[in-house]
Amino acid sequence: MNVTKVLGKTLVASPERQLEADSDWAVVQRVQAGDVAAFDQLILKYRERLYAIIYNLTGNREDAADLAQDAFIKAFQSINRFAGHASFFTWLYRIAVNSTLGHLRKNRLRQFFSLDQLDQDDRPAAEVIAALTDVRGPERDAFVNELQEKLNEALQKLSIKHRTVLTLFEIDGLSHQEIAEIMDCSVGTVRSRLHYAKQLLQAELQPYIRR
Amino acid sequence: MSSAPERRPVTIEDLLRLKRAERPSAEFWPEWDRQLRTKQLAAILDKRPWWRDALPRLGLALGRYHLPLGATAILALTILTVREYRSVNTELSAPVATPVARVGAPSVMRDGTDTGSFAELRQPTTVARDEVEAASAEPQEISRAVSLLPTTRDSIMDAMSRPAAREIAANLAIARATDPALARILKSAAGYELSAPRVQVEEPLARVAALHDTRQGRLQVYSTNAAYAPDTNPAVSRFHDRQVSHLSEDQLYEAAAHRIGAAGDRAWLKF
Repeated sequence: MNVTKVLGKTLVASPERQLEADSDWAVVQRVQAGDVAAFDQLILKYRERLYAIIYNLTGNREDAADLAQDAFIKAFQSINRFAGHASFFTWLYRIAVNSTLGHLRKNRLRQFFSLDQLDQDDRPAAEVIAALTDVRGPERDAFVNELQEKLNEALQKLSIKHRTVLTLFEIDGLSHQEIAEIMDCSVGTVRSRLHYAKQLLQAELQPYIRR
Repeated sequence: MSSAPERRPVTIEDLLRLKRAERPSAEFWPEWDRQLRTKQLAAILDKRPWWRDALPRLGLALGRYHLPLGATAILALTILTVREYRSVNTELSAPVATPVARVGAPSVMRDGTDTGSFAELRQPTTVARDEVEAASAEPQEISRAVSLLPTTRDSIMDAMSRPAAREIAANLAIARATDPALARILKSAAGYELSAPRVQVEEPLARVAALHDTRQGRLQVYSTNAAYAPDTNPAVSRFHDRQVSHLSEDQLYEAAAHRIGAAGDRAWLKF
């Protein structure tokens, strides 16, 4: 294992990520050796996370589905070029994010939003909604839908770079270092973009914020 | 009375957490998988352009030779630059030194009397590039003086008959007798054309001789002879040249036609 590869591995945030990266590398080596079916494991493992990140960037579930599929196909076609310098997860995310950014730039003037349903059984989400309103029944659903739309609008008002950083950090839970690797910028840039994006978002969503 | 229950604060991070709860329905994933399989098959069947595979391989292969390739490129560039620089230098120095190249021709003049050695003079005069460079390094005054000397047999004969040429020859003979260093320089300058590659040079004096046939030429010769002594002054020489060149054949005819005329019982001549 060369120095770059070791460095790439050490940049992975947590021990869990390290384990994940090692197991992914083993699967990737199998795929590179000709076991094409092994790639399905990687698809099953990452498809929801990859879809979520693209969905939160585009605000359109159809586009997100297409772009996620394209990202997996690109990764599969280029799997022999993956040398393990970074984790497979970072590499796959980079492919997906770059494809999505290209798509967003290309269709800057043509944006349609289609949102997935909010899973109200999700405990953290239910707690937030309970803190915001005490209504029940259809009124609650209407409130949730309105909140979803406002949230999506506010996100779409951010620039692509700021939206990407915010999405990767706050929604997908990646570390600053991982985001910097994916977006090919410094950790300082990631922090600064994150701070600025939160400030803008706070101004947009002021009616929903309770002190 | 009980007050309304205290609600927990909601931050921007809490609101963003709601986005994590936005998930597609359960039936979404089987459909997504089916579409992915279709796309995968299409991608496999779709022939990729050759360069998408070849270029990365080529890059990897060339990556090994980065240093030798770079060094070779730098070496080639250096050789080209040096060659270009040398050729440009030679081209620039040659025209400057050309007038000085006549140094070797009139060794006869320095002897003053030895007209028989005219046979040694080359016709047409040749110029050696290396010798020209060497000669251009000599004292400027010597170069200027020697450059005035004629180079062909006819022109030398013609020039010898002129007082200025005789004066220059006499001066050179005196200088040669009194200054051994100058004599050495003049001697080394003589006969340099024999060993050097020869380049054709047009004879300025021969060109003047050809102009004798035309009216313009005669005028030039007249003006040159009339002021031969000051001709050594380059400013005066240039003035004469300009004067003559401005008078074309047509202009001379037109001038004459306007000055002489006849009508009825009259004839006139204008001055």
